Amino acid sequence: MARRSRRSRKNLRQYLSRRLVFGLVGLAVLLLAALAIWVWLLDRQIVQQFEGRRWDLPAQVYARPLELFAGQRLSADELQRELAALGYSATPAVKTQGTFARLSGRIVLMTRPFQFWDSAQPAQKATISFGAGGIVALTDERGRDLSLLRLDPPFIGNIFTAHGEDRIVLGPDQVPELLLASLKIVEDRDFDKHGGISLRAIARAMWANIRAGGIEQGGSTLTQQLVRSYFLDNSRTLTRKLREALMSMLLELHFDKPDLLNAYVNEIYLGQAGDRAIHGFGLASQFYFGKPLTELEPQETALLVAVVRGPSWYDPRRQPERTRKRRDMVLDLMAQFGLIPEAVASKAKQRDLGVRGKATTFASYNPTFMDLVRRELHADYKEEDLLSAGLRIMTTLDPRIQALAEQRLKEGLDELETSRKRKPGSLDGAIVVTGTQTPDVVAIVGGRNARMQGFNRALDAKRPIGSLVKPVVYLAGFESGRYTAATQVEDAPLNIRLDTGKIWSPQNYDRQYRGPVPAIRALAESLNTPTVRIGMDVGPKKVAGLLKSLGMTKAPPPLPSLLLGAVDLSPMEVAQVYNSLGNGGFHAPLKAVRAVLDVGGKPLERYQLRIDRAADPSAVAQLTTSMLQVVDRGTARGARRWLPPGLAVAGKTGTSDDLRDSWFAGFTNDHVVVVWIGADDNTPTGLSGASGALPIWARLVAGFGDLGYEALPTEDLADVSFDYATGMMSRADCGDLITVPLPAGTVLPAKPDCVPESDNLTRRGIEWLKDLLN
Amino acid sequence: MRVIPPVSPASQTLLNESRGHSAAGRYPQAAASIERAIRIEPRQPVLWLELGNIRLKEGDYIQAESLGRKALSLSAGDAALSARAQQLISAARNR
Repeated sequence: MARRSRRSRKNLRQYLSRRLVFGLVGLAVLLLAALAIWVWLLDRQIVQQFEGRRWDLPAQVYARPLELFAGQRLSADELQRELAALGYSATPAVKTQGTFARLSGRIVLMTRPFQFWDSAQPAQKATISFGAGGIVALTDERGRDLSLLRLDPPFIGNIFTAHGEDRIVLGPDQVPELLLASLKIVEDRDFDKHGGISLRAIARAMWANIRAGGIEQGGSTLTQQLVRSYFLDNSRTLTRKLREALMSMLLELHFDKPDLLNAYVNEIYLGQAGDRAIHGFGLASQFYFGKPLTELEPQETALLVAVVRGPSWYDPRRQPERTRKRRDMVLDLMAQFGLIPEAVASKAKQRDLGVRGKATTFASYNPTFMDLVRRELHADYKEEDLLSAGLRIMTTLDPRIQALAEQRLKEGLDELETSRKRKPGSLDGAIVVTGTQTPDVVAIVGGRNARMQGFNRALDAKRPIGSLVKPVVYLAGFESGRYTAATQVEDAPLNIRLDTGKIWSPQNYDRQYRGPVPAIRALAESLNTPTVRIGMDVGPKKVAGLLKSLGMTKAPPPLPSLLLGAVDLSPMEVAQVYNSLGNGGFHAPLKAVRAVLDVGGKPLERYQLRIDRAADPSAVAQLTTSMLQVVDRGTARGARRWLPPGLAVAGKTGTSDDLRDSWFAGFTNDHVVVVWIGADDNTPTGLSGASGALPIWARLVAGFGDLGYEALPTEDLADVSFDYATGMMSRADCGDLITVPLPAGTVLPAKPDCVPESDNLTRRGIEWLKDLLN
Repeated sequence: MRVIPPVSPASQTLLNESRGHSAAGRYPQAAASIERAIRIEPRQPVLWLELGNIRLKEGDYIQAESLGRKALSLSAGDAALSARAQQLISAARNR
């Protein structure tokens, strides 16, 4: 029994140990299988990520190129500012592209080559001479006259993904060798040999950290840093470390070293601008120095390499001393490893960091404008193409005007809040600037925080336009042939029976009534009752149809209230309508995108300049001349305080009910500008068009250096002088004479007791008397 | 009366460039050069007239007519230019 039991116990033990072995083996097999699956999954994940990113080329957006030619109103200072924005470096002798020298009365420069839609433009050296009025001469290297020179266009930014990562993707041939070599000696000396992780680097890092008593050196290879960057995960858990190491080794299995290094150069995080994360050396070079990577000097390359270790710890703008120490260390290593001569390194260490101020960085980067570009491109391109196809987008943005508009809006709102004792931040606004004879959108501001992505007021805030509609009412009147600018219209209360049976009794803003006034004065002083009289005479339907022709996407309901501006438009839509007026009655759809090129510089779409006649040019000439009086004698007289003396500007104030919206829209010879001020919650602001939007408009326009607006006379109009207050012919000494083109043959009544001496007999008599006396 | 200034040297260069493209049948390039000139000198009727003639050759008669009208509105006071604009308009309308 005992023997049997001993035997059976032995059997049991054998049985159990055999089970255990099998179990362990099975478990091991299972674990191995799980590990294999995990590795396989990691492999798929990392390869997909790598391949995906490799082709993830966001569309690059450029501002308009500055054209230089004799006769252009551009000062040497203005050109120098443009060159600085383009990242051109000042140098005593201009020998390389992207450099310039400022001499007395001249600027010598060499442009960068650029692939435009129409042609590839090579680098060109030129001398620009300035006189009092701007550019007087333009000559090439050999002193020959150049009729025209186009600078390379300023890079504004990329159309990047919603999570805010922005990058300029560079090909291997666009990355300077010095950068690659420096990255390796500073970050990963074994890069060319290791298989993704480097035990030597880890050991070295540990030793350095023990000696320094803190984290001095990371043991991560460039490959590991790349993997970490792909998954935006900086937690320091063991699994994450293991995963990262495995993925690095897997990446090395699939791709060769130059590919990995190129991906690193394009991927690594190098700074932050608001909610925009700066990735890759291409964009970082623009972000810190405002110029392309290939133009960096050794100390600049060294700075970027220094920043890699920690863009917030080594932020050259916030931590200049700390960053400079690290930059100098990188320069020392460059010399020690023979990448640059010792002498170059010690000279480079004398140089300042050379980083541009945050304010001038991406001066023209503006989410509102980018939003407009994106919306326009969506007509022809899928979002995916914009984010990944490497398109190059040529736009109409004028960085100088854009920066000025952002600044004026912000200052203006701050000032209004202070003077009106409103809560700071309770007001907001929008500005749109276009050309006058062209449909180019040259600047757009969607709110006081211009750099923040958010509600795009310029495009999406639809607000009642109030009296901004009036020019269109008068235009309809002039087109009908029943009114001219001098036609007397009754300014007195009136009652209109609406279709609903109700009576509408529009009143003037000041509740004053002036009796008969010429149309031009009614418009200039924004009188409601004469406007409604003209509008009811030609019919609200005519006015609604004209608004549509001038550029509203859809004709508004033709109700009598339309005549006083009961129609909601965005600042952009207002700009469209006023652009058609400034353009002499020709409607051209506003646009921000001129052309698109593919990733290799091959021209794709170009967006044509297309126009259609929206209104009678002679009626428009009368109207725009009348709109000059808004600023000279009417509701916008206050603007004269800020405008250059004598500058002719045509415009109109607009105010909505209960002072909720304050508008001014108008134009010079060169620009159409619309300013809207209001509150996002649509509460009353206490501001009229003249007290809110107008000062901002006038101070902005004063900074443009534009020529005054000149209405285009047509053959069937003739200039007539008459009394502004009455619309009658008058002698200069007893009337306030203005000169307006009126349809030829228009006969005006004479002002009693002021009959002009203009009839031929009188004049001839006076001449005869004068002759006799002399 | 307003005097229409002569085409500036900068615009003339682009006008010549455009005519070169036009002669070779490269109308999109021809139009691009003229539009560049229009941005430099937007009130020069000669340029709008040229753009209208390019559209006419392309068979875009609606644009040709509109551009002719634009050129006409800028040509007041110049009989020769007005006549050329009128010619463009009627050529476009009679197609």
